[in-house]
Amino acid sequence: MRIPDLKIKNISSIIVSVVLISMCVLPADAQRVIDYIDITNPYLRKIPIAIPVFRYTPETSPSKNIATEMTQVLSQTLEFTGFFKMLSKKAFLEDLQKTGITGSSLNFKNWTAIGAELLVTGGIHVQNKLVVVELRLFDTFSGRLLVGKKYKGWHNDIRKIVRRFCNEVIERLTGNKGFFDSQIVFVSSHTGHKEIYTCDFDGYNVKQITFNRSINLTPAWSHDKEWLAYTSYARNKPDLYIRHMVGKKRGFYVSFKGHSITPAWHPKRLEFAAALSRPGNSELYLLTRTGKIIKRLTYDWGIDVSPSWSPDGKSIAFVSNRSGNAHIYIYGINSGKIKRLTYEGKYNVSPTWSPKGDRVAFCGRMNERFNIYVMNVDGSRKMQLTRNSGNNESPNWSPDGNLIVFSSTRTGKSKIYVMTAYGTDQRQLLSLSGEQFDPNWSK
Amino acid sequence: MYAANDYLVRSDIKKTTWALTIGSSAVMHLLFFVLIFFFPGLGQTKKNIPAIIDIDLVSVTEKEIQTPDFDEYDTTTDMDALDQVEPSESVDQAEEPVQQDKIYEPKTYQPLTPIEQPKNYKPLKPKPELIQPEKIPEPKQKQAPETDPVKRPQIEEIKPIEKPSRPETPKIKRSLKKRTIKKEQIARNKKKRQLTDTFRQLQQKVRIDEARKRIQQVGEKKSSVELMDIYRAEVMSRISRNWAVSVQMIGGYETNLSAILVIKIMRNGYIQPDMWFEKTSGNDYFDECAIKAVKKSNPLPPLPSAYLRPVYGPVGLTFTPSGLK
Repeated sequence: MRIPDLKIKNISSIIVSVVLISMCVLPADAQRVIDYIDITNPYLRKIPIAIPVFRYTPETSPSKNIATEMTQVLSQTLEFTGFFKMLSKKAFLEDLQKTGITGSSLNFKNWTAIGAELLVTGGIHVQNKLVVVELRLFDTFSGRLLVGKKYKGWHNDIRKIVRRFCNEVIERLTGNKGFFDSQIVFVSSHTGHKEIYTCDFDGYNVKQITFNRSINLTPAWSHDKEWLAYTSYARNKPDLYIRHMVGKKRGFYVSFKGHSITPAWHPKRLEFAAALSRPGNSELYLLTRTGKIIKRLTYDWGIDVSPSWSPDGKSIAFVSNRSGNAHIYIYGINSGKIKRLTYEGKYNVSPTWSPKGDRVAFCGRMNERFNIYVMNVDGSRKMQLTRNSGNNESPNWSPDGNLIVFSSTRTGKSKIYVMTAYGTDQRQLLSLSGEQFDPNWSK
Repeated sequence: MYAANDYLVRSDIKKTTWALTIGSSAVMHLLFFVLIFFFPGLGQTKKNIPAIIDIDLVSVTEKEIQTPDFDEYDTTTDMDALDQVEPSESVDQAEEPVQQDKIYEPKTYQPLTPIEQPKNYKPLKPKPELIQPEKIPEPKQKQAPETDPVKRPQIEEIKPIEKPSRPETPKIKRSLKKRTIKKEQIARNKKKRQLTDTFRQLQQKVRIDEARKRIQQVGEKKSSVELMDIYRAEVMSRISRNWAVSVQMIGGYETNLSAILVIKIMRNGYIQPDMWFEKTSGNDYFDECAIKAVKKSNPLPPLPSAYLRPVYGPVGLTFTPSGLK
């Protein structure tokens, strides 16, 4: 009876000692002090992407032309978003015409070697006037297929196909929908009259909307992109015009005593806010699509104009001179409370609420220059986005909140520009003669 | 009675064996989990060391080393390695590793260096003296205090006198002997200025030797601190250059994301494939960018030659986009 007990004690003591010894000996290797290296400054603030010229069949010059054109359109469209850095085609080590476009036929090391983190491969097959397009987005490091789509269309559908694919790409990468179906409405004077025009998000496909040879201002898209509201002097006094943009031409003319200006559509319903001078001075009203007053929003002796809805439709940012100078305020639709946002400067106008709801962009005047600023909805973290480049006015957010369209006089006449929400990548959207201003980006 | 007793004893034995087996297995399990918990990287480091050691022993230059390592990396290194494949070298290395597992000592790889490529290793100039590294420094240290004081002419005289004392330390002093002979000739033939010049050179050599000795005895930590600071700065700039983060994807410039990625760097600069996050940022895109930046930076610059360990690390790379602000 006793002997086994002893054995157990012996063995257990041996095991314990082994454990203790190993605890003492092994850490010598493992318990090295870890050094830390701080890496704080990314060299590139975008995603490096490679888009080689699409593979084409049959190997004829017309199909080659389509392939190169399509590649270019895709590069431009993706670059427009500000997310991507297009890698130079000269650096590419592979040619899709020789390798292939599927994951198994690609050597991703040739793409990571030039720094690409994403790769788009495309193959087009031309049959008569039909084009069959296969487009794929790869992660070059893992070789993973992120998006793969096949499209079929006519020659002149190339841009449409590319945009549809870009929507998929952006949605896959960011989780939000791309804005490649959106449109921008603006005022241009290149015919000698201030008429309203629309164009695609990238400045293509400009269309004239008004032909009244008068002054048309502050166009605004409804949330469903079917209605356009704008101010027009067509009947010699600033009144509101509500226009249906789809199908037959129809619309409403909204006129009250005094002026009716700066319409802004509700983000979810077909109602809009506008500034009417009906009671004597300019006040904000909520109106139906047909122009019937739902209710008066502001009661103040000062002038209240330029409403902009929060994305949830519960608040409106607007401009008022109730403090003596033009400043930006927020009005709560349900509470009726008004909160002042800006205190700096004497002239802050054109507020526009970001689609994410956290920021408000506006135009402020400092040192006799108009520039675009962004701030939080409580007025904090104000950031100047434009500087030293003429007057920059009337900002408006892209539907995904990553870009801001605005007008600028940096080259002399007022033109329409686009930049990222952080003020980078400022570029001119379209080149028309005359002046362009008051841009508004559809949802 | 006997039979019953026998049965009892047997049952006792059974009980004890049960207790033993259960107890020992429990302890072994405990030991196993304790080991895993405290030293997660244990098995991997052991694997990696021999691979690196045979490289050191063969003493090829960094570029040539890439061949054997190339197999270990699955993706990123291919295109780099293709240019530099040298089959003969790799064959040699393949034969050796079994022997070299035990010989992991920083000193051993150096004596071999002069044999193959003495020119490539400029920092290692005093190699001949390193053949017996423990003995050489001692006589020199004795000389060093003599040379340091202001009285140089005395030493000039002493050395010719010391000549007869050669037999005491015949092997070790060879290099010194040569120098002293040269000095004698110089002293006879040329002016004092030249003498002092040569003496300065000697003093420098003594200092280098002392530094080497310090490195070898005290360990690389003290003397290579500055070197490793420079190296870390190189790593920082290399990885930053390859780091691409879309500002829009991480929520703007004033984001406070932060991730710590831990890597290990081998002597030739290659990053070991096992890297892990000590801390993730919570933003998958940001974490992925950090990994991509490291993969793009592979290989990093080779470790400084004064750093004697085969692997540098684990090193924590702290990725914070604070530079954007």
